[in-house]
Amino acid sequence: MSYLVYLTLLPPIIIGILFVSWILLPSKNTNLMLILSLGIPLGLGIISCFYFLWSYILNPAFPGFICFELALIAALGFLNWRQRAHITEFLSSTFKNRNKLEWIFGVLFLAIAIIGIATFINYTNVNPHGRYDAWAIWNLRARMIARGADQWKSIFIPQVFHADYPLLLPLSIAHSWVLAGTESQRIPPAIAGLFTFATSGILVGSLFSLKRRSMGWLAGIILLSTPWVIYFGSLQFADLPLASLILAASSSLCMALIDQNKSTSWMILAGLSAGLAAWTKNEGQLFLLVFLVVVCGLIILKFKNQRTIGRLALSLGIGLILPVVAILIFKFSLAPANDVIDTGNLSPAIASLISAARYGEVINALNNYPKGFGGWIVPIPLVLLVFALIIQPQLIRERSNLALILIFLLIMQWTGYFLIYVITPHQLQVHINQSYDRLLMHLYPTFLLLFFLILRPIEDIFSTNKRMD
Amino acid sequence: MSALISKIQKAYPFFIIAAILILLGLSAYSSFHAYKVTSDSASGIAETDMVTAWDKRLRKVRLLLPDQGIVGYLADWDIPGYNYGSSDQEVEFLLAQYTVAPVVLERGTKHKLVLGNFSDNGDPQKIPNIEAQFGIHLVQTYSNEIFLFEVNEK
Repeated sequence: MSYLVYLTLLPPIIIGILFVSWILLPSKNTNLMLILSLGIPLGLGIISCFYFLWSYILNPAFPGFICFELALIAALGFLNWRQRAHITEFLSSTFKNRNKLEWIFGVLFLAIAIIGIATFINYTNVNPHGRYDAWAIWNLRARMIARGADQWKSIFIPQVFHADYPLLLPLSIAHSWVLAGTESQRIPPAIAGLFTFATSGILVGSLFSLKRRSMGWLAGIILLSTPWVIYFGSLQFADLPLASLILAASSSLCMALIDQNKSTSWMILAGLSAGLAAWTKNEGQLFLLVFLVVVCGLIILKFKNQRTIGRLALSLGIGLILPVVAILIFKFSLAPANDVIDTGNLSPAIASLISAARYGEVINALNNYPKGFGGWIVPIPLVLLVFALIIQPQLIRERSNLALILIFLLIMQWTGYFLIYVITPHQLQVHINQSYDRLLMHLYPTFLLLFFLILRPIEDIFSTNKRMD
Repeated sequence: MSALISKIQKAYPFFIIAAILILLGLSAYSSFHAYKVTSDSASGIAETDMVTAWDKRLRKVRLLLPDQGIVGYLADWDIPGYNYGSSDQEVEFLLAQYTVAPVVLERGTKHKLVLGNFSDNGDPQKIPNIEAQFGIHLVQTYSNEIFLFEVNEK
């Protein structure tokens, strides 16, 4: 089978790209980078949901799922073909009117991405099965599903390590294995790589759409040159997939606000991304909650027209429906209880939540956590702070709304993580040491989106200065 | 004063260029550094990694187990008073689980079949003692450290 197993990844990717292209075009606020990059996590996510429903009704090995995928590709291909004039125009305008600075940054981004891929391959060669959580949770679950055939539902029992964790990643891997007819060890790292590098594409493409082209390239360079991003991606954990979907949901939500003609399309993508985040990891379910709170507040505060509110809420619901159905079926009919929150007995969690001393313990434990993030030779926060002081923020009204949304999402998600530490039944310092850097990684790409969104565009600085001369 | 402000304004683009160049330089250095470190570690790796080695070691045990269901698991950490590395034991348990999937391993002797993973310390009485202690009997020896037991009928 060798390298041919990679072909099994094509149907989800093609479906994702065709879906995003169909839903976003024609729009002047999108770009090729964003369509291609969003298509990867969304395509893998959509297919994992459908594959779950297929397996739930039939079983993972039941033949015919590829026919369903081909039918989906044909349908989406047809829908895209109907708007081929827009697609041709869109593609022909992609490389037009690009200034020198963009080309330079673009080439540098490509160089850093190639080095990143080489580093990723090196990590994978050392740990082809990933690290601890990969083979103890995600790839193990994929094996259980792929090997389980018609008995696959029997593996969701408390004796299995973290059997309540959602299934986007295991089902994506199992889908490829079943299609290929072999448990190729090439698949889990390939999926990990797709999510890792798609994240940088979503970040760059989102900033392009937000009229920050040079800043987009810079943000992508910073993300991919952060050694932890490549390292965590190569571990084959679910943290980078979750980070990519949190970023996709956050940036689509921002776009729904500024691209009035396509706000419902962006809202569908935002809902789908947030739903898929919840289908990736339990922390993603926290993000879905945070996301819904922010979206509801936003719709109520910003839009006065009842029809607009109705349209946006409906779009959000359309985006959410597939992943939420999958999550509800999984959580209510298959998954055993969670190890942190025992829904059958909430009193220990409530007791911790109302104990002031417990909050002090968490703050102390976070203080004891080794400082530093990212693995750069100098601390990334310090570098970004100095850079921001020199470039200076520029917040026009429209951008400040977007910045506020991103700040709310990031702070509320972080607060949720803090509260999880408050109620954790595990040894606190051990829990923090084992998870805090990965939790920060969930937020890092969205933080970079916020950071480069609020800075003055470099092109503006130089053009202003030329005018002064 | 205004001359100074004007000078700073004129010099501002150079500050920006310097800031961007420093940022790009740090990015490039970080990327190259990570690549170099991983290249060195990748060139120095053993022929097979720990997980692959365990997978190979236990691959044929799967043939001795049922297709599905739960099987018991005993290891050195279950022997009272025995010296063992607790993290090693946990890792070995999870590695064994990874290999025998979709069969689920549960620690203890609650299930009819029990997979045993005991280090070979040269004591010929180790396995007979385990059998007596846990009420199990040896069905098959897979290697000098991996055994398949059955729980004694009461």
